Amino acid sequence: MEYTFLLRRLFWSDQRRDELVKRRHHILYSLAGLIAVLNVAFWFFGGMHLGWTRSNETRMEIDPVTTLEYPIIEKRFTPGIDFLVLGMMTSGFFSVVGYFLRPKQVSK
Amino acid sequence: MIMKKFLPLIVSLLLANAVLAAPITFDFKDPKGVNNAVFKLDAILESINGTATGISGLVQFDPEAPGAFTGKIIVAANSLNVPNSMMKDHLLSEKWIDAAKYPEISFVMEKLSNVKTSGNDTTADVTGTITIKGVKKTITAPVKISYLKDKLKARLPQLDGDLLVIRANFKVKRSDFNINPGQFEEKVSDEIDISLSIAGQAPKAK
Repeated sequence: MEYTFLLRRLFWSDQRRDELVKRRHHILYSLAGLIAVLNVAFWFFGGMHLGWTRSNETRMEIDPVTTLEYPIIEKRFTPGIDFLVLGMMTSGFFSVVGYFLRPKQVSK
Repeated sequence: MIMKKFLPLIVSLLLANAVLAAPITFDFKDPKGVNNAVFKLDAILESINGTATGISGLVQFDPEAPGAFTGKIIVAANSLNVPNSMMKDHLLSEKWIDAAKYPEISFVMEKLSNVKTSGNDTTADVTGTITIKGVKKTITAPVKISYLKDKLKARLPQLDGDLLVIRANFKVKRSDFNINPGQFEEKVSDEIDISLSIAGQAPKAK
């Protein structure tokens, strides 16, 4: 009786562990995909800026009296290529971790 | 006898002329915040554009003799701005501009040459001493000076007076001013293109 119970428990435990591994694998892959999609979308709608990320934007205006062109500095975050690369690297990191923590294939 | 009679008159006329022809002092501390210097560094891998707005200084200009032009323009080093905040921190750091130790970038204008005046505008080559990071260097650069008589009221309604607009473009090398010489030249160009666009005011005493 005790022996069967232990076996059952062990069996359940293996099944449970496999489920957890599967779920963890799934979460990591989903997270990697989500980060990649959000990162590209944020960069794309942020103006597809190919330079460094900007924390402020400068626009030039003309003073009507002196006709001098002068800068107006506005605080605005513009994601650059570094932002895109960093986001893709984060996504790649989660993918790699997900790959190594994938459920083991049981050979038939 | 006649000479004695007219001597006081001649002297007073000469004095009056001297007073009228005296150069006007223009203050370049701009309450409107328009005065600026734009700097560009175009390296192989990277192009950096920035601005500086903390400008002050005094310039003496005589509308009757535009060639008599002297003065000093000061740019507050900590007013240098680039679009990326981390890049700005690097720029102001000890390795680059060292704004804490050298808070001022100055240009002392000593003389004008090749002076050409047309209406209110004078173009010339200005020779002066530029000081960056404590290093002085004499440069000559093309300058356009526009004298706007009685235009101060249009900018500052409470004041009567004149405006003097100066536009100058010149190039300097950061290696000449000990700004991280020979380092990161593929990303931060050695040559710095500077455009100065400033207006000074000379209020008239009421």
